[in-house]
Amino acid sequence: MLHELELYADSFVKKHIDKKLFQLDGDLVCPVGSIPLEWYVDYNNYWWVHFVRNATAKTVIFNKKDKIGVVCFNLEYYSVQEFPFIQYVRFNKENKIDCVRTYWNFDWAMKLTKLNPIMEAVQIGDALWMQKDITLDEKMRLSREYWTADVVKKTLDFDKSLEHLVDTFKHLHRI
Amino acid sequence: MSYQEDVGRIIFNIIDSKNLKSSLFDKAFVCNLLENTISTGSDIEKYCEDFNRFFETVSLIEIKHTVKSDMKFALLAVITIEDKFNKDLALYAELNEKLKITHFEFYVNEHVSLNIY
Repeated sequence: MLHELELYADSFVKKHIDKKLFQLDGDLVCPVGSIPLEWYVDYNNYWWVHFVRNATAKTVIFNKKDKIGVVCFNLEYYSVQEFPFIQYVRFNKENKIDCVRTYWNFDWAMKLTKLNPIMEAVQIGDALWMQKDITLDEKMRLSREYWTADVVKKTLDFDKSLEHLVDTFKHLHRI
Repeated sequence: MSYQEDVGRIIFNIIDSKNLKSSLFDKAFVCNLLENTISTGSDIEKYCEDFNRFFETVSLIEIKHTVKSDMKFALLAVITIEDKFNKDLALYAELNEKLKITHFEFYVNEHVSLNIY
């Protein structure tokens, strides 16, 4: 299962998360809430990875007896130099991931949000994906619309127009 | 005592004694999650002061999981703050051959559901 854990860690580096690694009705728990792992995979692939310039898995360690692993990541969002976080990853009997707990510094994220609009955009998207009364299809559609809009594609460097985009996105999602 | 047990002993001592000593560190990189900054080795003394001040507010520590591999160690726990609030805690440390901490990350999650351990 260390192999599966390494595959999981590597999928963040490659910025595409594979559903085959998961027991999809398992849970993700993070500082802003919890969602099924099926949503978590789509959240990453449809929304979150687009904000990330580079992801590094600094450490992958595994406890064979308990089928539990820990991965320490460092993220480089566009225009944010450093965002470290840790994930606890648990495997079931079939060697599928059935629980992920994410640990990051909530205050650190808040501080970055004040300094950089990209972090605000990330958090708005996170809030959308955490909402249980919006269907998965709707979340995927809204995220796809956002990332395929010309104005977003042309400003991937997150220049001054991002603030306007964030406002638009807030309105679009009724958040 | 095996190396892994040594690693575990050091980390558990930090938690149990609520006393993080700067002498445990060796030019460590530290993710300081107490003062909204990421500290490096030059801030170790201040980091330990902040850490220990924070731990004075902790009334109960329940260790849920430990993960060890060679010189690396992770611990996940639930802490109770001032007998009121439960929070999720993750601690990660790497040690060198002299059992000095060379990398330390410490996270306390504020807004988590704690029912899925």
